[in-house]
Amino acid sequence: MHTFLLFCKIVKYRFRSIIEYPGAFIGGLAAQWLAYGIEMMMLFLIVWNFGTLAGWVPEEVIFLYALWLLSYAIAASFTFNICRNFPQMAINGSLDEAFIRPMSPIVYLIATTYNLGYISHIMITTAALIFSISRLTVVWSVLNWFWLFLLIITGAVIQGCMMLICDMPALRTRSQSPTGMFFWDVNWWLIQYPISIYPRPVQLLFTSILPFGFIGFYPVQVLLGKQEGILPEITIWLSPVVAVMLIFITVLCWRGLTSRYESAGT
Amino acid sequence: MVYSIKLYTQIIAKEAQRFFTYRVNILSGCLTALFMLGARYALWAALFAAGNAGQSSLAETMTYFVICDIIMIWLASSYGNTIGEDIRSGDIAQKLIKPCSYHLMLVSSFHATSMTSTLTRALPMFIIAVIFIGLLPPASVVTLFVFLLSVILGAVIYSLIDLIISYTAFWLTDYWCLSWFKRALFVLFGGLALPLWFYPGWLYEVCKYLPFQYTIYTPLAVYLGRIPSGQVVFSIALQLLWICILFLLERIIWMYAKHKMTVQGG
Repeated sequence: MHTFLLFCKIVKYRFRSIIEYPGAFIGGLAAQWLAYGIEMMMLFLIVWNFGTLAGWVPEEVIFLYALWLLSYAIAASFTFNICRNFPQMAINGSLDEAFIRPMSPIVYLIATTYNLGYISHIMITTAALIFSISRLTVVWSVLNWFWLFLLIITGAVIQGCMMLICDMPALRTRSQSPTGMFFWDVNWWLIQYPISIYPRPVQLLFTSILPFGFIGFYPVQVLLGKQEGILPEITIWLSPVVAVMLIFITVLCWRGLTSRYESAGT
Repeated sequence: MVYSIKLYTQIIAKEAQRFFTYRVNILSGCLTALFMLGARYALWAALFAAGNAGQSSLAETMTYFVICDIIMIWLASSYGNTIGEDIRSGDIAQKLIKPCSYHLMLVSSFHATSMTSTLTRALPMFIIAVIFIGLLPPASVVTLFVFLLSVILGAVIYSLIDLIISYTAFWLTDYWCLSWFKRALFVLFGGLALPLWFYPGWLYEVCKYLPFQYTIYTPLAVYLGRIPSGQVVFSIALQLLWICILFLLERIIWMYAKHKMTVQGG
């Protein structure tokens, strides 16, 4: 509880420092609303022109895209800055200060690098979710709402953990990690669409070693009444399990890398 | 003139040298280009599999996107970030008093990046696309030459629009959002995400009266024979007209921007 309160306090001060420049903050929000709004409009237009994308109608594709972007925004607000700063932290020794604070080093780092700019993604994806939910023929029972909430959280946990796991080697290499770059490429270019459009080996990869499929594609099928994929139908329920496993792997990676951390700073 | 050309080539050589120092970034750029290509192919193959393509074909669409991506890699300038950073750091004061045009330095620097990016990103993408996807050739040698002329005119229009948007940095305290605005405009009106022949009629009409489609869409429509041969000259004339209008606008805004300049750093 104490850690949580401290975390909120640090985030509050970060918010205050950003609000010092309201023009820049609002300009940034407007730019991202425009960019992502147009991106989603184009995606809708593409699928609308053809009727379906691998059996997914435009509303379903937008629903999937919005869920992916929302879970990315929630995850990246905690982890984007820290992942980008890993090499610099190791070079100038600023990581040292995280180890001498009266709280968990990783929580301290996440709090001090918390990125409030992602509020714009959250706002635009909420609008896209409302649009797609209003047009989908899904019966919204209490259980379905609960599953939607759970899949947003698990999607965010999966994306956040994968970002950290892929970027963390930069603490050792002291330059941007190739695995980190690989994660951004895959996440940015391949995951926004139903993964059933890819060849089977790629689908298998996204269902096993790189569990991108569990961010949105598999769990969203519970709501849409679909059963696609290359593995048994139970896969669509496995997102929470994958999220918990990734948390453990992230903790192991963090402990492994920081246990032998040597400061290079002055 | 000779001095300017010598300076231009020297800046290009130095920028190229700097670019090739970061080998991981080169590898990452190459991978990004290939992921982009793979994602596009999977997406459009799945869409065309639905069989509602109308007058278009998968080969035509993929040719459009591969050439579009190659042109965008070549045009990958971001004057907003450079001008904004120069203003923020105060470097612009030094650069404006140098015995060399500030714009020449900007253009030279970006051309160096463009050339190296074209080699490391566009070339692998082009080779893979030719081997595995199959691109459509231009209808004739004349079409090829008209296409190249149209690409050059489109590049000038793109640079002028980029500069005009970038000058906003003189009035802002933050500038990172400018590239988002620019991309959003080109995605919506320029045909970056979807060829304009897929647009609904009203949106296509709007695009006709704006300069954005003349950067990417017009050259590609010439290449693919989407513009009837009788109207090609008219399209080139429209590109020239937009260059004149935008050049005039750019000069006027630059005149005001120079007087507005407030150097914060230094």
